[in-house]
Amino acid sequence: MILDHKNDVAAFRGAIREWLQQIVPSGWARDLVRASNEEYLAFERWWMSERNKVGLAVPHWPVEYGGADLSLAQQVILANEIARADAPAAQMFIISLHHVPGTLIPFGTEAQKRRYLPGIPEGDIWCQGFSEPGAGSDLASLRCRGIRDNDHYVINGQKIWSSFSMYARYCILLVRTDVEAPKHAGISFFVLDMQLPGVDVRPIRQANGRADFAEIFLTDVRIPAADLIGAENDGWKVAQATLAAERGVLAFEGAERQRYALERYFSEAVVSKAPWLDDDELRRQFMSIFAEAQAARRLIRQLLRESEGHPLTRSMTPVFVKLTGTILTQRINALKARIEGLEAQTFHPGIDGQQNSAMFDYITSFGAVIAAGSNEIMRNIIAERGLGMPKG
Amino acid sequence: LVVDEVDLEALRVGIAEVLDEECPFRAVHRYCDGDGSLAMTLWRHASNLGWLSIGVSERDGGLGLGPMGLDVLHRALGGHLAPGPFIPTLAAAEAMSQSDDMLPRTRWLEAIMSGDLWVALPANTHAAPVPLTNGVLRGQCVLFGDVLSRLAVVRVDGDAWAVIEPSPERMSRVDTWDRTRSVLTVNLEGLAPSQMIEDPQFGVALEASFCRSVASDSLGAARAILSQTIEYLKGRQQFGRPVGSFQALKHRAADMAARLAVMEHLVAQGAQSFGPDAAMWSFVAKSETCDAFNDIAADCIRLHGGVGFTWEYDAHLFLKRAHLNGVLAGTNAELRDQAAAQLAAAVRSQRSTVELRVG
Repeated sequence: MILDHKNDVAAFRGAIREWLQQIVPSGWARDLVRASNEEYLAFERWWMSERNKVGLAVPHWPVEYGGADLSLAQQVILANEIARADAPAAQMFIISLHHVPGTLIPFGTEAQKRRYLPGIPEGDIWCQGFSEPGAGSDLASLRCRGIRDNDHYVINGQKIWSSFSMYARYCILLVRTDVEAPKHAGISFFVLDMQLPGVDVRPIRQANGRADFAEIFLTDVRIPAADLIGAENDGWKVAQATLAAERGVLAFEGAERQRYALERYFSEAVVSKAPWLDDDELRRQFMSIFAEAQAARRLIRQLLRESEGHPLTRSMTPVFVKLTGTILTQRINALKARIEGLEAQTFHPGIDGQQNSAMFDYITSFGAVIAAGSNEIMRNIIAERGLGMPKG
Repeated sequence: LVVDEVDLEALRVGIAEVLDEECPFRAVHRYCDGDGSLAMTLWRHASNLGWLSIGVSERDGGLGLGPMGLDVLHRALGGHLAPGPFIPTLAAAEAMSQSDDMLPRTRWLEAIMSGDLWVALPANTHAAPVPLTNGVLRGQCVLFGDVLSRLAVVRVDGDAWAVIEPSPERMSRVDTWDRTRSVLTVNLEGLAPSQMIEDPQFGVALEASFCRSVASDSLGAARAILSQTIEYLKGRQQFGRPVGSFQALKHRAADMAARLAVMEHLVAQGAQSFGPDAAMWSFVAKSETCDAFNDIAADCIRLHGGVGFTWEYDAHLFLKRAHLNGVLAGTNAELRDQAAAQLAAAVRSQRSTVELRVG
């Protein structure tokens, strides 16, 4: 078993590497691009089941909830090997693996944890029902309404930008349960069973051609009161835990994937004597980006060091990582598209979280500058909390 | 050679105390307006406190704090706009100390560390080499140093370096926009080198050290002008509120802070790289940090409004230092080109240049 070696760095790394060599199908990303939605879903479930077989579905979770309680250093080794092998990114499980435990472990009752966490290594996909058409950056102005009716809450409203919600078994949902209270004080946090009557998911086609996120329409959906997380009207506090859920290792994995991709890109150019290497402007821009990508990897290592053992409440490092990392990814892909000239303008589909055609990745990279707190919000946070500039 | 973080922190604190006391911005203004005493005072402290020995190895009587120690010093000097030929003198000392050529080490290092010898370097280390015929040099060279520098190191034909001791009559100071440091022209006609350094590693080490120190200077200076500007934005009132409460200005400040957070790690990459890739990382650390410093210094003038355009405020001093830094040790474009060539060479020998310890 891979996990038997977890305390011996070299052996642990070697065991993961060997497993990935055996299990990751060559050309999987290329095949997935042409896959139907059902095939994509099946692939993601297959990948989670393979991880589960070797105890690596939720290795970062505490043992009592089915995890392996891996230390940060051990998680980093795993993420590094996954990036190195260009293994699947488990895109559909991001909420399941990070946001759900990040919320339920601190705020769920023991019964809620026992009920919901064990399904995740078995392949339960979760989605997030936070944003609404009228509540984006100003999330606390959300209007999806929940009214208590004996043992249930009756929910009516609309959620949007909910990734993979068309495949999701459950949703973490923010609902307004008190319309009189100040906006942050009237919100409650629920687990929504996506199979309940009145839940209608309608995919949204994105600028990159895919439809990986969706709107969720909720019409008289009856959520059992047992699925309220935390106290009624205390949902904003619970949601802060969701949003602060430790995702440094995820950022690390992304930056390491980018590292291998940039190295490959340059060495293929050198080997094939690509003409852009003789173009002063493009070559120099590449070197700037190459340098900054290395600095970005070091910045993420700083984030991991800071986060070891204590929550990052005051540090600006995660905000710097989000702001600069998403912009760097945009610059890399914009440069690749320019390097490839007219050829880059031929439509090629791709798949989120992997290296695809330059234009697909460039268009896709707009998602990250907007999602998870838009970069404009990041700049407000840096200015006000980091630099102490006055609120305006 | 990774230096203990505790030692570096002690060094940081010690240097900051001295510079806060001895090198406030009003003293820098006086220096720029013609009172040269500040450079002398700082150099005396630097020699007394061992700053001049930071990059010299212990076998040569130095402190052996290497590139990480020099990074601490140059950041602080940049942050205070400190005058004096610290960059060329300490880069020359570090390169001599790293060289296998014993002669320069034994002949010059002690005098440099004791503060008696200021060294000048070619302002652009990528400029054409100086002709050397019949044992004497020809032509002239633009140096970065001080008119009082008694020693200079110049590249001569064939990729060797010559140590020279030009007399004061051969040197003339160029009146540069940045008055915190000096650029000079030196007449080399008929001058015989005092010593030739044939070790090819000397030049490699010298260029890398020069680039790293300019990068650190730029990072420290950019941080200083940014924090000064943010304080100004918090205090300056218009429309009945501090201008720093306007989102348009906040976002500019946040972008600059974020850019420096990245540059911090690029400078660290330069200071912590050893072996064949150290030069490449020092080159891109210099080019990217200088570009950032230039952009930040310029925007900080704009964010100050009218007073940013005055001689009396500090902002213009930073912009001028940024522009000189930008062209030292080669233009940023030249350095990116060299780094690209080195990266291509690494690829051909199937070596990764980006390995980092995991975690």
